[in-house]
Amino acid sequence: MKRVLFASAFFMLLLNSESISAQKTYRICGRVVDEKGNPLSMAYVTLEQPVKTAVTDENGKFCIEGLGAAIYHLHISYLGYNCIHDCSADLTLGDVWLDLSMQPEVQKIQGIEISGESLGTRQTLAGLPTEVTQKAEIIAHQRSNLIKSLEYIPGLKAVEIGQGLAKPLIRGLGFDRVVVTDQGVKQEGQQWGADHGLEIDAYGVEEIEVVKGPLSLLTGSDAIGGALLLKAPAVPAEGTFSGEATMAGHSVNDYGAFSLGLKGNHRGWFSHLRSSLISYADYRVPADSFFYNNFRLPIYQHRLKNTAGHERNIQVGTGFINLRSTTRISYSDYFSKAGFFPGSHGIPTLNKIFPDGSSRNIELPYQEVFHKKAIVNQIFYKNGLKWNLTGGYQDNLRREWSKFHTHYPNQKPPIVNSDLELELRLKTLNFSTEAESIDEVAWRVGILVQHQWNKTNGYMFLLAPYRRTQAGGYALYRGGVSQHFHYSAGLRYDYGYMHIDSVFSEYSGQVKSRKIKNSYNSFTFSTGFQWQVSDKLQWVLSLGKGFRLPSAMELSANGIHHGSFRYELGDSALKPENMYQLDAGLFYQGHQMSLHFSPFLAYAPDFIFLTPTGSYNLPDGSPVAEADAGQVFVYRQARALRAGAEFKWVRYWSSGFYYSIRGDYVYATDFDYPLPFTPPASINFNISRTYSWKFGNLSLGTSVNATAAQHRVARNEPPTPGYIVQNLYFAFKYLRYSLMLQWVNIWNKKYFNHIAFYRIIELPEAGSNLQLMITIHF
Amino acid sequence: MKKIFLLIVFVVSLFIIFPSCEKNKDTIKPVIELHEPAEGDTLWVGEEVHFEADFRDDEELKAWKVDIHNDFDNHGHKSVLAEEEPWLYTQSWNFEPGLRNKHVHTHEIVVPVTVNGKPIATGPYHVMVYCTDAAGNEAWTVVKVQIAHRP
Repeated sequence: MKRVLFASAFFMLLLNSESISAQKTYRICGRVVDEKGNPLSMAYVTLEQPVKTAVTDENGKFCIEGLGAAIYHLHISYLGYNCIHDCSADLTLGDVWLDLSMQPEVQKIQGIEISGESLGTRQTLAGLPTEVTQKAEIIAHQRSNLIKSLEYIPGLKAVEIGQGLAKPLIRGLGFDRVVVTDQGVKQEGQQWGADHGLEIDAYGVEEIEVVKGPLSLLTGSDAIGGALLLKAPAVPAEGTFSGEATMAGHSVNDYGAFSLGLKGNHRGWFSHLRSSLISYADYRVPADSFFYNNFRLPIYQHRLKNTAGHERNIQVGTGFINLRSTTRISYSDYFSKAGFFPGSHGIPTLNKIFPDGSSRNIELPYQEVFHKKAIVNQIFYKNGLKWNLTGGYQDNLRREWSKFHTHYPNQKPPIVNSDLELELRLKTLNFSTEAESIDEVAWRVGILVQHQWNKTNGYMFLLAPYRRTQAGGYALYRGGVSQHFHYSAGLRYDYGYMHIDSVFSEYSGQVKSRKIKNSYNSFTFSTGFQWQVSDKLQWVLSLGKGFRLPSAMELSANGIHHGSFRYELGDSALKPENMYQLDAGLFYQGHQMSLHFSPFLAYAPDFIFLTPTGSYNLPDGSPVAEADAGQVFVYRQARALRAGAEFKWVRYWSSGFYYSIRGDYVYATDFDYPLPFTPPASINFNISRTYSWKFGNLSLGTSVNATAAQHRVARNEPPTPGYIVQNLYFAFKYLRYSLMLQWVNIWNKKYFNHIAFYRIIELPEAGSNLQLMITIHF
Repeated sequence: MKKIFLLIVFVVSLFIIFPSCEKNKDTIKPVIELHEPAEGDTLWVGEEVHFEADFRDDEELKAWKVDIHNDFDNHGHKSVLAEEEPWLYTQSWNFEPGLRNKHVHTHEIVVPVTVNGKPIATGPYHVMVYCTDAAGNEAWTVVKVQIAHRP
């Protein structure tokens, strides 16, 4: 290590011999502060060539003297903070003073930082719209679950299954078209499932980067619509031990949560722990009946029966940090059990929805999810490169429990676990390596390998067991034509192999799934430009391609989907799905205001759809063997187009007064019909006032969300009327204590969410909800 | 600043006048009017079922289906006796192309006396009727009936 440094220093000395030989000497002095402007003492300031190190004093100041007239590169490091590598000082014109501000270490997983960050939007790939949100902001918008709490970000919506579970939808694409990564490892659940939610502890999230466009270049298959990149918990500062306890309650479903976080660092050895317990009862809706398929059915006591649930999470991490590397091992265990409204499984009949005497019990049907994840990560700097090595193992076990029912005349309940309808177990092993040069003009190359095993069980057949292997490599170059014009361009190649087992059903006497052995190749690219027109105005433009390998469901499904009761038929000849997206963006940062506008246009020549055939027979003419099946749906590929825009306008005054307007719109079509799950246009107004004093602050605010009606619907998707909902917000912070009170849907408005799981059976959204959250830092 | 707003107005207006690329858009479900059997009717073992329904669609009808299955497990009262077998019936028919309305009257469905060699399990059953149009929009309706031996 040292030898390499000396060798490179010697080499550079030869190159710079001219400037070194100059007689007069100069010095670099400066001051290092943290993100709040407090001086950082004992920070290391290292000169690259010649190798010289200075340590900052108690005022954060340092000086390196005796330097020739040349341009010098410096590294500044401080435990628990991001190292500064891109600092250079030009001593050709005399002594230099540097004011350096360091940011707390929040591990950058897939993030490239490009100048122009001050405009509020950091970009992973130049030009691709990206929003970074911190824990404080997520808490300020806290709702029933993590994804719902992120809905204030224009272009992001939550597909909710009741109150406790949700998955993200970015610009109208969701399910397995949006990637979620945690500490650089792709979260693998059952992304294609209609009732699948994200297995992440909402209280453990510290920073999320939301990318609203194809990120396949860096994350591989599936990131067609966008990605949510969850950052690793920040490394605590040296010699500190701190904690945080949070208690939360929501009135709409008698929700209670307790979460504890602890972290410490002793001489570079750090550890962190997060544990959360959540429990909620059946949620209340502002309706006493619902009207579904010509039946009017009662909702007893305004509560949706059996929508209760609970969650238990633990996340631990430990590692070592020094000036040149960070090593971390983390493990998380997520468990949730959530009931389904019985009317959503099969025909909603009166006896199914009659109260069972308790609003907190969970009866059939319900789901259980166990998600275990272990991640090993090492980041180190060597030979002017930043290396990032990550290994991950995930075990996702999901069980759907429903009273034994069958679609075959001769199927008897299993003897063990007779009500286990479906068990899906997915194990995933990932490994990735990435090297990135730390100069402003930089290469970044990486490779990723992933292997998955999926096993199934239960009395219902949905999906055959499968194994999938993927491997990919990418190279990304970013550079600048001038100080105001930056660009990035990248290329990626992926190989995928899918092996699906054949399954024979003794009840139907048919092969439910034929053996499939498919391999796939895919090239992806991404290009982007950033033009800093002035201090205030920035334009961006990007063109990228996302891809997705066909899922096991799409290739081999052959049966009734539990819940939706559709007969789904896969197609083993499906090819990878590709989507080309053109993004433009405009950022204007004026005096106490900012404006952000980002339109996009995306085209997929081979989008995979579940298409209704209108027929009750399979395409070969044979009748469906199962009873209770509706028409046959087949997976097919056809072109699709999406277009839309988001905007954000923020205005604030030094007095603490703030207002913002955010909005989004998506248009999506397959040239015959609109795409399903297209969220309607929405606009959000927010006004707040913050009073600050020496020891704390107090904020008061209100937000109004207006959502348009959605009449552009796919076949068998009901149109949804528009609505307006108002919320109130009160937050109080004093020293180590903070309290937040929110009143969501203050008018107890009855409305429907077009993309909610229960929308299809005409169930309204939750009613008025009072939320309290108390956090104590220690 | 003015230019920026003009650009926003331009892009937004593009979306508003975005050409509706969709040609044959039909998202309206067909309508099923099931006259017979009606809710609470009794179907007699060994006899024909009097089935009468009207199907309607704004464009073109495609197919319809009848699905009869037991409703035993919903109650918990009636357990299937080992010597009885519940009846499952599914059958689908296609409409002649081009139809918008169709009145169906049939006695084709017969309640069997035995299922898989065992006597039919009597009790509550669901009669489900499905209907699709040419575009693939689907409607369904259900009635609850009793299957019993004629006294």
